Amino acid sequence: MLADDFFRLAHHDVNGRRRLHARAVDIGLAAALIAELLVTRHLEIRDGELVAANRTPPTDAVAHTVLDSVLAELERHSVRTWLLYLEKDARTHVARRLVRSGDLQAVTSRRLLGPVITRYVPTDMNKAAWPWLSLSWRLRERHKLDFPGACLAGFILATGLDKWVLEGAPPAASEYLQYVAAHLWPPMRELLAHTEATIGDAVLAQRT
Amino acid sequence: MTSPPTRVSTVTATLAAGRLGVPAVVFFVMSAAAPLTVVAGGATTGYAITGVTGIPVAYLATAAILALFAVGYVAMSRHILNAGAFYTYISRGLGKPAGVAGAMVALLAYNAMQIGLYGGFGAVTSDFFNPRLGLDLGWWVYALVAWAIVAVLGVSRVDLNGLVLAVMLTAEILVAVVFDAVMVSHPADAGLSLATLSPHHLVTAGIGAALVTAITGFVGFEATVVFSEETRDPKRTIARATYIAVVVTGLLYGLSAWAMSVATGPDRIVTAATEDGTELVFNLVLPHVGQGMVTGGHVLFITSLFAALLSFHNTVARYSFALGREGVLPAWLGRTSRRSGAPAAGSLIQTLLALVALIVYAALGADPIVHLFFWVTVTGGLGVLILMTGTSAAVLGYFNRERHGESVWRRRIAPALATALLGVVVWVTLAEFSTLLGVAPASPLRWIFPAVYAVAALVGVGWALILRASNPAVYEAIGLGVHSGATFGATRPPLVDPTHA
Repeated sequence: MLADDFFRLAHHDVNGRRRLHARAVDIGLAAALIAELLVTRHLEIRDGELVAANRTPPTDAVAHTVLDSVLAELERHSVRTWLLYLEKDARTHVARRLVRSGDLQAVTSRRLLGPVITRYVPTDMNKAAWPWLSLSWRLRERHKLDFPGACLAGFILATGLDKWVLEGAPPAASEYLQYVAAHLWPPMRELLAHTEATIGDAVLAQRT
Repeated sequence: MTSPPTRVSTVTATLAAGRLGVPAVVFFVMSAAAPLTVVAGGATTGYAITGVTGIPVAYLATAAILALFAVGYVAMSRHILNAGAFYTYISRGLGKPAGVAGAMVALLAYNAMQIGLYGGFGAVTSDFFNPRLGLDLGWWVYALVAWAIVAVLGVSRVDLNGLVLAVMLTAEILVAVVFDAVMVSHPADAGLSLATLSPHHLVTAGIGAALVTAITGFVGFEATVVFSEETRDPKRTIARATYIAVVVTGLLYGLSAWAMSVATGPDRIVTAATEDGTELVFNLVLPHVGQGMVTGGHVLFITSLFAALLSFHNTVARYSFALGREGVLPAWLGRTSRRSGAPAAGSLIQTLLALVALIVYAALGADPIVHLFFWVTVTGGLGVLILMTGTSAAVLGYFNRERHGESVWRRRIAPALATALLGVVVWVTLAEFSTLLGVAPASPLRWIFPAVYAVAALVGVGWALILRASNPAVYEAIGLGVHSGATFGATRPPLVDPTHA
């Protein structure tokens, strides 16, 4: 699933630490959860707002939860509002899904006098590193990407993770990534435009 | 009896919970304005270099003008995205070429504010630490230490803790008020003279210099609107926070500058400020409050200078980021550090500029207070003044096309008055720039400093016209606050869609 693969890309394959600053990971994962429901046609974007198009419960529990929260709202909200709302729990949702599938293991630790910290550590580093290996190789070789691969490519560009995925790659790889992103399925592209703008606004609103 | 169930949107309620109220916004912007820096540094140096005794009344008059400016500014901020940057207003109200010109002026002005502060920081810290540590290090050594810390904090995005800032700000204000009370209760021979508060100063020679000195002290208050999307009630919170910030800082600055003139006597304030420089306030209160309080005041003065340095550094970095994101400046400026999310490219460039300026000043052996702190920050103040004048005119232009449900006072009367008053201040400032710098009226410096903005504005207009011809998509997006640029924006046929998955 898209959010699972983005989670794997955005976290270290051995120790589970973030590769990207926290808000970009959270907003990216929120977007990935919306993306999964766009692909299954449960949700649609109309005039910049998120709309439920199909009330049939999705098979996945997390997708079910997200769709339920959209259905529970009486008024429509913009994609950006949904990103900011889902951002709060998206990482936990996706991490728990990966724990249930046996891909992650929750490790809790307590610092002296500090709060209990839960880290999610991959159980199999090969599986955890696979999305990165596959995407990085395909982009560098300008290999054809399937639909999920192209979406994932769009996600790394919108969140800034491309700098890491394409580290040391020739400029042609970046150009190919731009090309893939520019030719994404339109609803996905709109979602990613909002995602990029929301992450950018988070940078601008930093308080010091 | 149970009340009928009311459906409150979970999304709205959840997002509202983390939002800011009036006090939070006021604290954020006032700590950037760094009151003690202005009171102990700006006001005293202003007296000394301009030789104008009407500094206190200039602070009060400036507060009044800025409050008037804020009426239209806050009203327009409710209707636009990226409300934190003056150039957004100018492009929406006066056209995109004017907007890009404003962006260039803004980059220059905020850089000047930041770099000039290094002079104040270096001079004040070297005077404080050298005798205590038995060292004889130049001001620029201390400035470089601050520079290095700002450089690291700038790219690693370590937020200064909001509570720490609030405590520091409160302490700064308390110290300033206590010092004011001490100075006022120990007047010079002239007694409790109100001479420096007399409005007649507003029509005498040198007032332009005094007014722009005052405006420099307020720079930072305009940041309230940055938080407009994060407040509980954007309509009221931002407006209230802005007025409170302007009134509180205005009263504090006016009172403090006046208290100094009472303690020295209005006829001696310029001489005393020239002799004592940034030590004036501390020297005046030392006999009455004891060494401990004065040392505490010094420490707060230093931390306040540092907070201002960091705040203006981040302002420049964010400006570069916003311009890079819109495609006005090269796109790499719109990229962030992957791990910290800081606008790293903009931050590094500001850091580099500051380093070059510090090396040049140290190599020339220029005076850190006069030539760097005062000259460069008031030049920054002039830039922000020009921007505010343009922004005020832009508010008129923007609401002239559509009312957006705002009252005639907010749309027309207040912005028109503010534009006229700010325009007059710009005009007298330029006419008296030699007084402001404390140089001979024939000195070429009086033209060189302001001319930099004319050049920046022309470059901006030229660049906007080039963009219009070469990259219409980017030109169209100027001032819209969202990256609607090439990647995800345009409509292109999909290579693969879910049905082929």
